[in-house]
Amino acid sequence: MYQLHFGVLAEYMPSILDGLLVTIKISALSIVFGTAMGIIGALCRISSSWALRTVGNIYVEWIRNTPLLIQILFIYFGLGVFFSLSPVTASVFALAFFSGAYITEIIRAGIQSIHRGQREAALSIGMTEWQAMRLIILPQAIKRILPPLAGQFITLVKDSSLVSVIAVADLTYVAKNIVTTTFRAFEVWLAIAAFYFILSFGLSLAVRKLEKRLAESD
Amino acid sequence: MKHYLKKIAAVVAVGMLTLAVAGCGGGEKKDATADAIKKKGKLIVGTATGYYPFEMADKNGQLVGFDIDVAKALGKELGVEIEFQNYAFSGLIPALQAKKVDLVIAGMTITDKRKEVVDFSETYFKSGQAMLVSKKYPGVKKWEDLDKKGNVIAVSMGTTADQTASKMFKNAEVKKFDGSALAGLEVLNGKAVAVIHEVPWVAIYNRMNSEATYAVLEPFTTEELGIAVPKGNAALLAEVNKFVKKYKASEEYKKAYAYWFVDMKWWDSVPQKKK
Repeated sequence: MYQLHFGVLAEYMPSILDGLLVTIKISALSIVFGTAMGIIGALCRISSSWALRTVGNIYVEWIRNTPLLIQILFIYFGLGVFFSLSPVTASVFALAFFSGAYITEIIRAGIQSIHRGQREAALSIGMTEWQAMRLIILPQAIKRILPPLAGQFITLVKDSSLVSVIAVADLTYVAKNIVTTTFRAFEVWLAIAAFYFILSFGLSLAVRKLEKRLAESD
Repeated sequence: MKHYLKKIAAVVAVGMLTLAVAGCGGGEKKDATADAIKKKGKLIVGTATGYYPFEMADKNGQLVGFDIDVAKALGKELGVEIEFQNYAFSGLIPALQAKKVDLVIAGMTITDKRKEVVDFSETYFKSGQAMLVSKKYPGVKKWEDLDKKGNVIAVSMGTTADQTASKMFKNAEVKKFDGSALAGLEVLNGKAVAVIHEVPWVAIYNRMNSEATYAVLEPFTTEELGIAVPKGNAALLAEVNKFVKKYKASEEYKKAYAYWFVDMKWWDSVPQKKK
């Protein structure tokens, strides 16, 4: 039967930590760019221009209705025929694009959930469209946006494990590699799951703290 | 914050304990002996497609290849049905360990490292590592020519090629993909200098993509391929060995060998790039 040997983890800890750093780096960059994509996407989706709304719609629907793994393979190997993207660049590109579509919807829904009377009231006391958005709507919307946004960030950290298929040396790639040399599948995957848990749970605690701080302003 | 950490530690500890206990409990199950397999009437064979011409999908999506023929012959010998399960190559040994498959026939080289966790049959095929090189890098004749700073070598993760390359290449960077097809793409896209893989695969991949690659077929290592069975299942291993001995001396073996490695009549029945 299978004997458990957790000693193998200590032996490979340096490479596991290297992988952890790569996962953190890719996730952090993707969160930043993905949020930027989401803001742009949401602005398109709520824009008064028909063309921008259509662009936003196509973006969201196209990304949401195709698997992330296919998007990663397409960007790296498919577009790779025309552009030489490094694996890390291709990964961040794919993950940011992917989570951006979901963030677009989260932000759009958050903004549109604020009753339109609020905007009308702001305009009627002489605020510009932009002032109404910045001073009245966004401060309220952000509190509704944060919880689903946190969920999206956590999903992104976990989804980043898919980039191991294009040989990005992230946590999952390192783990697969250790399993193929040691065949200690149980111990390695358990430890890797724990690392992802710590990352995701840490992120969720951070957002919870931010939510609390925002709630104090009520 | 502190009480959070305590809670987390408790949850993780309990989780680990549960899993550890669950892991131990699995050992009580009896090993599937040859008799049990015969009784079940079915043999589950793990393989990893994309490894020409050992295992691949034909134009109808059916599994074909040298190993598939070997597996079918084994099924006939034991009088059982064969069910194939397709994994990424790196997932095959874990699948065997977890008893998801009864045995693995996937062009797997017999190595000491693998022998620690699974048992191997007698050699059923002899092979060696060769190089598929991008035409962007002309003049590669031996493996040392590839081992230069800045060179990227693509391999299929967990294969003998991976282990060989990771050990032999000191200066080049070895990149590992899920399967040889993706490793090959890396060379076609000009991102890797070469793929290291076994001779038949290199010959065929080169034949499919002769405009972008050239092959150095003289193997720089020799390897013996075996059928992997779960560790400590002596009865099944004995049956498989009996089969391998008989099969290697048979007309069937010669026919399969000629078909997959010499005549390559299968060439038109599997998807490939047409010029």
